[in-house]
Amino acid sequence: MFTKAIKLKRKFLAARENVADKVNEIAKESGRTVFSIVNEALSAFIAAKEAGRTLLSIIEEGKNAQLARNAGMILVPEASYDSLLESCAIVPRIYDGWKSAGTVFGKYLYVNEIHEDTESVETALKEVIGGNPDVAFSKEKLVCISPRLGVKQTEAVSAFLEGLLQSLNLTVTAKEVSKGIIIITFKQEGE
Amino acid sequence: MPDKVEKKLVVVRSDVLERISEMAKKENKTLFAAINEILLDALKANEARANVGDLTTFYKLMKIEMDSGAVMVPAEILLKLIKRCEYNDELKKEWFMAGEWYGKYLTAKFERPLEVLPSLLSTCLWQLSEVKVEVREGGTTNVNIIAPNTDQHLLELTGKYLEGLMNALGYRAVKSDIVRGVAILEFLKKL
Repeated sequence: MFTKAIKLKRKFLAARENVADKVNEIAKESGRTVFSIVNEALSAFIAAKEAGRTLLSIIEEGKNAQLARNAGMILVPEASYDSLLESCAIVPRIYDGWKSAGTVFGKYLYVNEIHEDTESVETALKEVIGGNPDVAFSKEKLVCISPRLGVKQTEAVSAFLEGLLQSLNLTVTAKEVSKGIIIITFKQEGE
Repeated sequence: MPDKVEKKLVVVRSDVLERISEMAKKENKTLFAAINEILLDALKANEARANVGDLTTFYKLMKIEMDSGAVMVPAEILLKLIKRCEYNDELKKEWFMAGEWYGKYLTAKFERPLEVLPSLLSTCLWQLSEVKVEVREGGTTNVNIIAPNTDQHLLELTGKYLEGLMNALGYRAVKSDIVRGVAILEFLKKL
């Protein structure tokens, strides 16, 4: 039996020395070849471009989703979750749970040094809230608009955001919540 | 006079390089600048102890999931809701229907949805330790789940969700054996 090996054509290309050295270092650490690392990066760039995205934004979103996963979040079909939420009469305790999940997520942002960059925090929140919401995070206000959210889910997200702000040492001074719209104002603790 | 940039040569696949070269031209960038930019972005993934290939694959699968209407929920909350709700056939039916909808979504989006299913399930159902999808000859497909730390009710609901999903892909469940931490599901192609 014959097997036909496909020989990939290779070419040399110039990169900045410090960048090439770093790639080389990673290759050694991970036991991979420089060739595979460089091609993986270039192929990922092409795939990102074809999806109308930048490589960096995809890397950031991938990292954020992993953060959420590590912080104890799971993916659930929205319809199933909504029906569970609607059928539960309670819910203050559920909101407490969302608040503590926000606290944990905030700590993850802190540990990963994302908390100081408002744009990165916005991207991370968009990923976790889902449904492509508008999120604006400034020095004293956090606004989240997502018409897709139902009343109870808006309350849940609001509790999550409150927990997140608290874990970043920000004190909530006012909160306005109505279906799909959350506006939270806050100040630095001790101000 | 600007400092001379030290360069090093790296080897790449020629087909990948050609694509990058075309893209750089379109953006009026030199190939050297484009390559360095891509590699620097890819190195950022490494800072998070991830590799760019894994992150982009993870992102792609997550995007399919989020676009299909999945939401991120703290695992603790979901379990509380399941415990507080009446665990009955109605609830199971809802999860079956959610899975069915997801199956239809995958059918509309992919020519061969069964091919993407293993990576989708193992990546996005991260609360389960192991998900194995095996497509066998004779129209049988097995889905085996190992999840020793997953709540029994959640595992059963996940089973119903997968039954709905496979139903939409043209398979009927012939075996659904779910015991503590393990689910063995067998499906047969519908005639």
